[in-house]
Amino acid sequence: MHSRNRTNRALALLLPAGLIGASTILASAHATAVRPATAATGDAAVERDVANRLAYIRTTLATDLTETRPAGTKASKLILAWMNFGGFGWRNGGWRNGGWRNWGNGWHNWGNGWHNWGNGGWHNFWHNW
Amino acid sequence: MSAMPLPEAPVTDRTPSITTVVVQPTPFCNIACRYCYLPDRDSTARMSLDTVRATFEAVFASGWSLPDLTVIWHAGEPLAVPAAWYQEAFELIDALRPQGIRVRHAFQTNGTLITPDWCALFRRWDVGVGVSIDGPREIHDANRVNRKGRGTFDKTLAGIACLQAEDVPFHVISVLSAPSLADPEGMLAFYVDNGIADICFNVEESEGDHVSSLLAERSAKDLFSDFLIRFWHRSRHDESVRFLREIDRMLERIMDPTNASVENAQVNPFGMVNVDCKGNVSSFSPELLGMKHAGYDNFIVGNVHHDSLEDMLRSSSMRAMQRDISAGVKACKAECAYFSVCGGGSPINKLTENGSFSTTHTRFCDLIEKVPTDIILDALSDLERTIEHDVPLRSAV
Repeated sequence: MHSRNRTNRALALLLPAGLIGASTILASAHATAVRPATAATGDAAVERDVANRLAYIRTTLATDLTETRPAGTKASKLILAWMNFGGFGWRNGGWRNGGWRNWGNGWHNWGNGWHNWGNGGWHNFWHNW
Repeated sequence: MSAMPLPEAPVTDRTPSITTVVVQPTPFCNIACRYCYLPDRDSTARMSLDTVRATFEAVFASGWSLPDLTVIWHAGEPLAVPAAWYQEAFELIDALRPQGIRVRHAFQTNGTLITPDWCALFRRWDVGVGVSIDGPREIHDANRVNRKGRGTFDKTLAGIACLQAEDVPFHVISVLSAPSLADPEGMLAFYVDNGIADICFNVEESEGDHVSSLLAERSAKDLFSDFLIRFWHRSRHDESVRFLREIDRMLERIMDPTNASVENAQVNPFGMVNVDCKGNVSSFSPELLGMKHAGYDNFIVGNVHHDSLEDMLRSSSMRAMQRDISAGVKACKAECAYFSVCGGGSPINKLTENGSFSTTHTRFCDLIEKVPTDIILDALSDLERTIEHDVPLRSAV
C-alpha cells in the first residue's frame, strides 16, 4: 500500500523535470534504493496494486501539485542543483526542452510509432517501430 | 477458422481518426535476415505513382486524417526503390495535401543503401529515419545477413556514418536475441562508440516460419526486464542515451498530466491505413497485409483504385475484424491492470499468439507493456522512500 502523500511529493518532483529529467531521476532512485523486505503477495493483489497506482498517478498529475513539491530534502536539493547546472539530463540541459508530449517536435509516431514491427519485417517486429 | 455472423450495424459509430498511413512501396528486401518471416521479400514489384495518388486522394477525401499525419514507408526495404521515386511521390502527396494537414514521412531501413543522395532527400523533406541494427558485429551478423549468408554489419554501419556525416537525425531499432539480452553493458558501449543516442528495442519473436528459441523460454520476460533495468541505469548515469523508447514512451504514458485515455490506433478502424504496392488496404496492424484468413477476406478491406475509405469501413472484412478486436479490447479493459497505459493491446499479437483477435493477454504484452510499467512503478516507490527518509540520490549505477 502506498501513501498518497508520498506519491504526491514524488510526482511533484518529477513533473517539472520533463521526460528525460524524470527518467534520469527515476533511474537514480531505482539504482540506489534499498528496498524493504515485503511479504509475498498473490498475483491478483499485485495486479490490483498496479491498477490503483496507475489510476492514482494519472488522476493526480491532472491536478496542481505545486504545493506538494518537497522543498529542502536532500533529494530535492540535489535535483534542483542538477536542473540548474545541467548535471543530468541530456547534455547540458537538453531535457529542458524535452517536455511532456513534446518529444520529437510533436511527432507522435516516434520510433516509427508502432511497437509492432518485429524482427525487421512487419511483425517479428512489432515493435518494429 | 471462420468469422461469426456479422452484426446488423457497425460495432461503433465513432468517426475514424487516421494517425498513420503505412505504405509498402515494394515487398523486396536486399538482404535476407534469418529471423524475417516476410513471404514476398524476393518480389521486385513496385508501387506505381498512380497508386500513391489514389492512396492519398482516398485518405484526404475521407476527412478522417488528423492534422499531423505520419506516412511510414516500410516493407521490404524501402530504400530498394530509388530516391527519385520518393521525390516524385512526396511532391505528389504534398500537392494533394489539404490546408491544415501536415505530413511527415518516415522510413524504417536496414541502412545498407544509404548514400549522400538519400540524406539529401531526408533533409529536404524532414524525413524521420530509423535504422535496424542489432548491436556489435557478432550479434548483428548472426541474423542480419545478405542472400549469400554474409553479415551486413559493415554496410549498415556505413549507412549510419553517412547519416551522421550528413547531419541527418535518426534512431535505431535493435532486435534483442539471447546474446544481446545477456550483455546490456556491451550493447550500450556499442551505441556510445558509434554515436547512437536514440534507441528502440524489439525482442525476437516467433512469426511465420521463424521460431524464436528466445520466446519459447518462460524466462524471456525476466531476461528482458533484467536487460532493460541495467541498460536504463547505465545509460542515464553517463548521459549516453538521449531516448530509450521502452522506458521513456511508457513513462510519458504513465505520467500524462492530461489523464487522457491512451489512444491505441491499432484497435481503431483506420487508426492506421496500410497500403501494399498494388493498392490493397488493411488496417489495425501493417503485418496483416499479406497474411491469410478466410474469415476476414485475408484482412483486405478494399483497394484504393476501386473503393473509398467509407466503402472500406463498411466492408464485411472490416466489420468482422472490428467486432472481434473490440471484443478483445473490452475483455482487456475488464481484466487487465495495465489497460490505462495500453488501451487494449496489439491485435496482431493476439491473433498470432492466441489465434483470435478477441483474446487478451499475450507474451508481447508482458514485454512491451508490463515490464516497462513495473520498472517505472518500482522506481517511483524507490523515489518515494528516498524523499521520505531524506537520503541523497546518487547517480544511476
